[in-house]
Amino acid sequence: MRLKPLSPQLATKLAKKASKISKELRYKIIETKSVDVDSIIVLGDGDVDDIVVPIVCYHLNGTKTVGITKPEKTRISVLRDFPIYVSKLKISRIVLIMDQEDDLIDTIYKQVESNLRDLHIEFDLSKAEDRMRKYNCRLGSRTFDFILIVSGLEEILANKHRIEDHLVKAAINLGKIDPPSGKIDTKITWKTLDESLKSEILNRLKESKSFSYKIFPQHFNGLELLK
Amino acid sequence: MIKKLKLINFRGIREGELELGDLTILVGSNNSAKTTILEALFLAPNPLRFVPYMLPPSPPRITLTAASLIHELHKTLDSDGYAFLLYKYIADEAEIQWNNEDYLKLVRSGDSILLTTNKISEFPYRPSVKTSKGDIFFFGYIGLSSNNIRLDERNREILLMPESLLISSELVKFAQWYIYSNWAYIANRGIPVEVAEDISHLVSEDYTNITIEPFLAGKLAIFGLLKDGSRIRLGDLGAGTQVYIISRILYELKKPQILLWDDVEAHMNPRMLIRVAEWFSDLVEIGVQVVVTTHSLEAVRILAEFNRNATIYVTSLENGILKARKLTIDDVESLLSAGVDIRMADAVVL
Repeated sequence: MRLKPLSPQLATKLAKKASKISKELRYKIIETKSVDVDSIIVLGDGDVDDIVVPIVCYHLNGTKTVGITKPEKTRISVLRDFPIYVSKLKISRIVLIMDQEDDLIDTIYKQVESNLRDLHIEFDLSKAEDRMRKYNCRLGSRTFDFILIVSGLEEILANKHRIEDHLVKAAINLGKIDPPSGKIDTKITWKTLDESLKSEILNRLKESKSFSYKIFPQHFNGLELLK
Repeated sequence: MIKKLKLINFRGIREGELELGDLTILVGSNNSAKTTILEALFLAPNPLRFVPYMLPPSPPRITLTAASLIHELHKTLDSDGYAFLLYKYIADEAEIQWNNEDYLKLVRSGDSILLTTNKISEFPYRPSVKTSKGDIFFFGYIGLSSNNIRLDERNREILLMPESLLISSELVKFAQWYIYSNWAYIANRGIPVEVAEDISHLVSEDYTNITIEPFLAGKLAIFGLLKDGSRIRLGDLGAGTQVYIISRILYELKKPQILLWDDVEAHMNPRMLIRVAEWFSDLVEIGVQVVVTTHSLEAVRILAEFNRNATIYVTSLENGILKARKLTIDDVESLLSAGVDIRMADAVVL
């Protein structure tokens, strides 16, 4: 699956980060031509998502191109941009990727559904998996699918659950760091890793689909629905 | 006022149309037909009229026609001719249509392209040729593979639509010789003093006049005359300042009813761009129609801030079909806040 960044800032970030891993990833995944898309991935927060998503898309083979965007708003407030995507851009599938942070998963689902109602978006829950939900939505005369992916892993003892949980898990599985004995801040753990080590981990994730799936199950399951 | 423009087989556009406002801002990726739209509006009044640009080489200096100026801009190596005005160089005819009623047609005939229009009766001299489609009356012709231009001088000043003027940083060199050749007229109308004063508000130096004087070895140059009496050659000023000075002089000289500016942000500092936006606002107020292209969202914001009714178009070209979507500045801002930049997402926005 290819990614079409919808802003120059995000295009620069994606290209720079993907190139760092490999030119193949950069050219195979990042679409720079002017192409239409019917689906978009919305990054609700995080700096690391813009390298994780290309890696997952790399493994989700196929020629489909989806848009990718990082709005000014973050997390659940990003939902307020949905009417723009649906009405002005005629997008029919939206994936929102956001960190769990210190919220309970059920609280996030409740907040998301409450926000959808506030926006007069009718919805039916059509798929519910661990940290991934798919809603069939209607806004006025337009229908669209909304796929919510909540980043974070219960198995990692962390103060706040974020996309970095997954990367720390990858580092542990590859024997690059020891499993933590107590609660950690995965953002700091990932950030303070040596750059060459980070590159090695990201490279391994890019090279092995099965390993990557093990690390980012909800991202694979959610993004797979766009294919 | 040109409210609607339709193009058929013109340059890279097989077909396309758009509505124009008082101030129209065209935004789009490279090769999305923005410049082609300006060129159509520049040629439409009469491709064979003289425009305020001259070829730079030494005398005899030649005042360019609208068609020959566009020809110069597109010339690649020593390739000549106007075939580039016909879609994919092979279309039998191209058409520029406006306001659903009038048109200029470029019809291929042998090694020439005949210029004809629904207003052909307004031309004093209108020969005809027999073609498979019947007799075609034309007011002039241009070479298909040569830069030949032929028309009866009586046809030169006939305008099919209001006069338009094309500005771009690429044209500064062509304008300098025209300004030189018409200097007495320009100077005695007080244009240089006005422009110098205007420029002084935008740059750190205080200019009192624009002059043409000897530089070194008796050779002439256009100068900005500073308050302390010293002079700076036009070519030594910033590129944005040069294009602004040239555009102001040419406008005052020709007073066109349609001003076309390609890549309006090119070489422009925001302060200069704000002045340009103010100027456009003044022009719109007196009934001049302005159409510009840009790749800069900052330019779109500044221009639209001074002209809240500006029509913003995102354009794209797909297999020769021009697609254009009209947006307001509020649409542009809300998309931007949602992480969607119309320049990157043109195909999605359309």
